[in-house]
Amino acid sequence: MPDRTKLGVETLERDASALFSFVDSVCQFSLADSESPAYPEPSKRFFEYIKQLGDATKEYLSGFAAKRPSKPELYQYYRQRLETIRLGWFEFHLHVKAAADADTLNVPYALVEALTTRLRSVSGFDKTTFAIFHIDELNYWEIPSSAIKETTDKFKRYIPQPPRFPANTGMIGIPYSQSSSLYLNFLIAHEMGHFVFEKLQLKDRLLPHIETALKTVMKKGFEAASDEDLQLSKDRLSAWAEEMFCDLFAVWLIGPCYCFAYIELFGLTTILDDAQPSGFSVTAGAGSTIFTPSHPADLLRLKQQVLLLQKLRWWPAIESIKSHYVSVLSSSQNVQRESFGYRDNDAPLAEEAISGFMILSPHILNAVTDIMKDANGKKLDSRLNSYRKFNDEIGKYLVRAVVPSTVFLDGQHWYPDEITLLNASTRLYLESLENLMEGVEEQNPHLPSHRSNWTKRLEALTTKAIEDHSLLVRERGAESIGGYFKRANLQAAE
Amino acid sequence: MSPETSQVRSRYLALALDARKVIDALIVFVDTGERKPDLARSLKEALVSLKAVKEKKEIFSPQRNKLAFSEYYEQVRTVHEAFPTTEREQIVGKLQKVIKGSAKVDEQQRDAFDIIKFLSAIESRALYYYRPQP
Repeated sequence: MPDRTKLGVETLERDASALFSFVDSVCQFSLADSESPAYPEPSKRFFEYIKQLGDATKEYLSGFAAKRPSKPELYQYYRQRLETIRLGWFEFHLHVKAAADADTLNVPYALVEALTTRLRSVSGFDKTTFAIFHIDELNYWEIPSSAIKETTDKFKRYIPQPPRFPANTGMIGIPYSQSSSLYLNFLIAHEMGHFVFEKLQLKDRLLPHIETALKTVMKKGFEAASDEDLQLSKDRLSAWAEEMFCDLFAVWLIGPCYCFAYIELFGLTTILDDAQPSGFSVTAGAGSTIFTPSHPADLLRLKQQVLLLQKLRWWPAIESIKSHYVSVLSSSQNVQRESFGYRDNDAPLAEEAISGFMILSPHILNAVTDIMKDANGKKLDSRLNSYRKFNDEIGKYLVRAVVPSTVFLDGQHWYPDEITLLNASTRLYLESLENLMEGVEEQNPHLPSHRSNWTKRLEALTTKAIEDHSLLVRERGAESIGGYFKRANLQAAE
Repeated sequence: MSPETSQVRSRYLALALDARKVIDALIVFVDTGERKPDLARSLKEALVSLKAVKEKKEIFSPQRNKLAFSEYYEQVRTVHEAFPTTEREQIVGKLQKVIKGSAKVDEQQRDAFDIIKFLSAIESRALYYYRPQP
């Protein structure tokens, strides 16, 4: 039998070597210098970061066995460090391929740029960028950069000088199939909300309100509850609060088009039922009223979104849109507390948590209201006035398949902003896509395939307009008048 | 993997990494008897977090979590699963003794070794929950 100490050292070397190979293989997918395919800048920075972290990890592993403790009985506990580092790299491994798949041709680049520009007008976020990842699930997902930062920070204890994760870079996963879509990708605004929530540490701010809400609902039961049950309830309420915050943040950031994308992605028109006096039906077990451990019920989320739209005075403009999506929003207002339930009937304190969440909701709205301010402390413009001014004109362009980068109104040429373009386009999509199709021979608005083609066309026209906008507002001589951009006087220039 | 699952899994990783932080500081002490500057801080953070696992008033406090032993339900649950309350209390006592540093060094090292075993069990369990299953 080999000497015990020698065997220990040898196996430490082998285990470190195996981990070295794994880290090396992950880093090979990190395409910081790739020219083809090309990547947006934030993705390049992410790859560069992974590469540097990989180099630092490999350097550390090269000396791992040599730096072992002198007492063999400690080897076991020293060795387990490798396992922790390995699983830390599992976390990075998840994201590298997802980022590599999302090259510039496969991300909704113009929309992400437009939303990022809008976010940069919020105080404290003027340098923010986002790397986009492709995920398998048909959902949107913000990868908490704090989790990556936290893991790296903790690596710092073993790996000398690990690189710092770019502080202003957020990471958003989108469904791989939706890279060329526009409307569904409005949900990216919600994921940006997660970045904001995390960066401003809003959970800490909401925790006292969560405690008060639970105490109010549970009364004496609060003291009698087990620590684990209270911990679980706190986690539920924190997670629900974050999701609700992100919804409201998205609504303020991009307006009602967010709500319509939400309804479409999650199929919420199924709640509508003309056979009911109320016009909708929430049947037992229907998913739209069910809270999960991580998310509040869809209909409560919509209800809160409508409250914010009313507060921002968007609601009358929305009500005039002739679409059953608007009926879903209206119906959500009539769903009462007793309709909501938790996924698992036997889960401890679930009903108390839902009731507590009702008490907590106004505080979430307050948190959104507090942060939606520009660098001068002025409330962030919802762009409602711009929508009112340009919505009809934009519609006239789109219905003729003309890119509405510049619209002519009151004898002037104007450049409508991105948020106005997105909402006006969504309105046309919901209300009168057939008007666009009627102008073209052999197109049948009753055929899903035809409608789908023209939806894509409408998305492409709108995408081009928001892409143009970022350039047009930098045109020499273009003027901002009352918050609206007017084209330069080209005749005078000639 | 869904975002929900990923989020929960990352809580286990955070727990494992924090347990490892304390283990590493203790390994040096047990091996050489040397008290490196980060030893006292790591042990105090571990003490605060392990105490918080059983104190209700701390659950809603944003400041309390120096280490990820008690921030989320999954972390609290993992610590509870690994050791019953009595053993946790014994470890808290040993942590206090090592922090104080007034006992003989070899006695402190024995206590420190017990703490390593305790934290290693938590780390190992957290890694197990974090690890994807084939």
